[in-house]
Amino acid sequence: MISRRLVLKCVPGLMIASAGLPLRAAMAQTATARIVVNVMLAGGADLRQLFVPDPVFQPDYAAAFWKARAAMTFQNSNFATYQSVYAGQYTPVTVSGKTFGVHKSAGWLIDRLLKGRAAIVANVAGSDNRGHEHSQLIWRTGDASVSPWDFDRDGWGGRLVYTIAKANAITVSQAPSVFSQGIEEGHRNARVVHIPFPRQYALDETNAGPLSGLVAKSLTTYYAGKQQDASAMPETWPFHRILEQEAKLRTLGRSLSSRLAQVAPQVPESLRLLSEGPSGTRLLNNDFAKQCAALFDCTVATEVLGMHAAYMEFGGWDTHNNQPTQLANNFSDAFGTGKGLATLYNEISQRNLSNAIVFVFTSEFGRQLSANTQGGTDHGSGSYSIVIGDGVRGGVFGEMFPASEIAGSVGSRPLDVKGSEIVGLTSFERVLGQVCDWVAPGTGNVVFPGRSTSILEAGVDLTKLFN
Amino acid sequence: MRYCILLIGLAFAAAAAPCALAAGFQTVPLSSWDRAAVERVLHAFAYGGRVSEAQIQTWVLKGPSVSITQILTLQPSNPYLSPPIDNINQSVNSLIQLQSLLESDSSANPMCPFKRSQFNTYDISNGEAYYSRYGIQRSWLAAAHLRGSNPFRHKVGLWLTNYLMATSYTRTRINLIRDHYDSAMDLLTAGQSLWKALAAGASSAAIAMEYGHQKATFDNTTTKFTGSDDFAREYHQLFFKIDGTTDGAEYHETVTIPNMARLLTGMTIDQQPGPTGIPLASNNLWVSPIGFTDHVDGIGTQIENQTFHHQAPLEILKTTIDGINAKDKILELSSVAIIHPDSLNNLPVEIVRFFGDEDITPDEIIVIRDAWRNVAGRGNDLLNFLRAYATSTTFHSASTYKYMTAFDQSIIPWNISNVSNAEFYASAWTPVFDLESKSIQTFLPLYRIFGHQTGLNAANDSNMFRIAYNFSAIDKGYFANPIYCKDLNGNTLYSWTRDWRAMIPASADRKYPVGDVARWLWRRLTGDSGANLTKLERAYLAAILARRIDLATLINPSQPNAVYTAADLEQEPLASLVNQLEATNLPLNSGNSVTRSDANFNVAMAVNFIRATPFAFAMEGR
Repeated sequence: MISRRLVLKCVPGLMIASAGLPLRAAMAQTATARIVVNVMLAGGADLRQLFVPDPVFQPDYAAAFWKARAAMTFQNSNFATYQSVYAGQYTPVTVSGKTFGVHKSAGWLIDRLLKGRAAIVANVAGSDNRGHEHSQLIWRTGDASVSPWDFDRDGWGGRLVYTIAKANAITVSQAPSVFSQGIEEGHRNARVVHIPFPRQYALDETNAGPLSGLVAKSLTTYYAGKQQDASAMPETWPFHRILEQEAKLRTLGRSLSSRLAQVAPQVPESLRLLSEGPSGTRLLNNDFAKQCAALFDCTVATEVLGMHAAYMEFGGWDTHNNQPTQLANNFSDAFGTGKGLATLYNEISQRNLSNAIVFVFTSEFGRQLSANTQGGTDHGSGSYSIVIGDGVRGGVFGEMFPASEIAGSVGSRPLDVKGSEIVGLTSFERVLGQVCDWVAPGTGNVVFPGRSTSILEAGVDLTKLFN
Repeated sequence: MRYCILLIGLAFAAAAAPCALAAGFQTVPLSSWDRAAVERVLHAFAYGGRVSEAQIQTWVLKGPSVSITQILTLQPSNPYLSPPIDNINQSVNSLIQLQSLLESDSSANPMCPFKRSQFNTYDISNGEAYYSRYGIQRSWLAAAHLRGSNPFRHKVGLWLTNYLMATSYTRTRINLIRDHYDSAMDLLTAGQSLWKALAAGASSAAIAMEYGHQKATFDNTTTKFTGSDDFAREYHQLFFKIDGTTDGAEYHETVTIPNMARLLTGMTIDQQPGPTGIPLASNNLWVSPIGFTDHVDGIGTQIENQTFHHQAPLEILKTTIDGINAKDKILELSSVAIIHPDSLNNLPVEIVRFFGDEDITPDEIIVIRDAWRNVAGRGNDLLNFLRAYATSTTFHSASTYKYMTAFDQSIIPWNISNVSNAEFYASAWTPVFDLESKSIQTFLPLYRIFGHQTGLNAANDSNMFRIAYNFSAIDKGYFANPIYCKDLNGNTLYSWTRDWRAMIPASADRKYPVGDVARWLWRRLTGDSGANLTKLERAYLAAILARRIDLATLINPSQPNAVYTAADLEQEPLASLVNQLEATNLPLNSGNSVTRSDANFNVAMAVNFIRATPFAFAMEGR
């Protein structure tokens, strides 16, 4: 951990103790401020239902896979049934010379894949346990060795923004996330902007109220004085965290409000309808709909907020039962044509901002390959990482459906046996580190010090992830 | 040999049992058990309590050993911590009992008629009745707030059901959660070990519906299992904090969890039609408790919980677990789980993190684990552990700090200013509105099964800070305005206005010097014994209380945005100005009702100010 005193004292010659690399060396000033948006699919997303084997191109895997999942989806293991369901529910997509099915509800994702603006990295693993909370913590911190109880930790988004001058990590999810927390112990919030409601992001400074703003006026000048007094307090003083909230709300609130009034006085209608529109337009996940609108507001005010990393969270992926229906809804809300991210992307694209943003989708773990007997899947390990953005060089990185899963490789179970899972062949540090390098060249190894020695699937070259 | 007279309780004091309970925690010396220590305990464990100055002083004199047995009890009513002033203490044995009273037309119901519907058991929609979440959520807040009810008991209840055994009404039914809450708290109140409360939770209809194992079955003839791993994993991980570290991941994944899934069979929930005259919606017929036999439920469905339970013993946690049904097996397993090494290591740390400390050092973890190991699995283990911790040098340490959750922030101010339940009976909104303004709800954990908002979450949540700040900054007289009790037609039956004299102690000459009032408010609202009441806070509070004006304008009306630091205010002439303001008497005792009302309003503004300072959002140790 690094202390605030050290940070303040050493800037710009600052070091991250754990990385041992000079941050200054990694401190990048890209021509256009680039932003990574981490979309956490909380609950353990079964992306093996988003991407499925094609019965023609992967017949052996398809047969085994759907036999293992018959109880969940088709009530029988007849291959012909799989073919018919495949034809009804999936769109065959050919990327990097490989053909596979993508769930039809993910129309925007299919479009991005076909246009070469989405990449799939297969067989990615971060957590070696199947517990939600610990695994989420691992993915949010980007540290596979983090203690299950260490929530006051730096996140990988937080570490990234510390490599960039005046950068902040933005969180638009309802609750704050460790992802954004910074490296200064006792001041984890120093570069966090938690902003689920950007248009309300302000402290009351009006002279309204029965006493013409007695308390508001008192608090405004009081806090200004207290901020000065607090600079003498020890780093461990717990109230620094609260004072940082006040300072950001006070200063950013004013400038954000002004910026939004200039460039987007209203939330775009298409985004508003995601949460308030009629059935069919409105997302089923209202919380995510609001996050899409909030991220739009932040994106048009990137300079004000210093946004280089952002965090969204989409819950509802813990599908122990009713998985086919629930995932179809989730795929649609997140990846559907005219739905959450498609609408957000369209709005920021119209403002020529989309080339600066990349979305990376994470989830605490994948799910077991074999269905349980309640219409769902239980916790597993590896999964896919999806990266979407104008700067992405589309393609598939890694084997989408490893043949070794059918009979089970060493240490893993055959696909149709309860407990079988996607074996992690590529570490999450490899993927996320590459994303960091895109945001700010040279930062990947700083944010993920163990990246270069972590696992990487044979034949995969993630340096080709971006243009 | 050490003796733990204090920890077991007064009733056993004379027995002077060997002090197994105190192993691990060192009790604070008498010299450190001062008013600040008592206030810290009240703040952290009991939503501030509802105690007089005299009671606090009495506890200081009695010392930690005796005091803590009076402050922290799990009885529904605690006359020391929350002295009754009406008969409500007779109706707080359970949430269902309290709700039944507060919504009723009974003459014994103290709620004003106009507000009784806030506690209704049912909402009616399209001619059908649904269990109302509002009625149950507000009943919990009433239980945590009303004089005569024990706030510590309900903070424990909140932790149990919204954090440790987190249940969300969006994934189960609110009436089942209420039953789950009441049965778990009944067991703890009766002096049972925590594992029995957790076993009751694991056997409850609320949890069976939340995780879906109400549908899990095992065919004992064909050995076909139908179900999932969901609660089989979370029983260990969430309830007991067993993550497989000790037994090894392979064993945990291939033996404990699959066998646990088979244990959780035969747990179908009964359905019953609603009371006569109330057509319950078809998805609101579920009732507690689960019947673990084969039987016919209230709507005529054959329930085969015995037949479809895995009847043979199962190996879980390297122990053979036997029992004729799921409930029996859960009971047996829970007695093992509570003393499993993973649980002994992790569970006590989580308890301390919730109640007392965000920043637990490695040395403190050792102490905490030792203390828990000495009580875990025995009767009253949770209560004894919390009492020992609340009076320990670990809790009363300089390194301790605790961030306040939205629950703490919303309930404490209303509790410490509650001298009469009349305000709640008339309005039904204190502290309900305060909490609801933050979009935080009881029985809707923010992080679902991982539990509700922690102190650290709250401190990191700028939206939470913004709402709390703005709630206070708009000059609302929440703590001064009159409240009107109305009948069903909206006619006023009586009005009630907070008279701060009932709480704030007067000086020997029966006056209320502004400095003393500010200090009292600060101590009770922040729980910090005045440690952070610097010249800066004193000056602002004095300006508000004495002159009802903001400090900068008072000092120089032409520079209302001027910023002063504590050091600035130590300099003359500002230092004298502050002293002069603090020496001013606040006319709370005035014979003139308008003057008195103005003085009370100034106090309310000072409360608003304090609630928005950093010190209302966290509490330090000694």
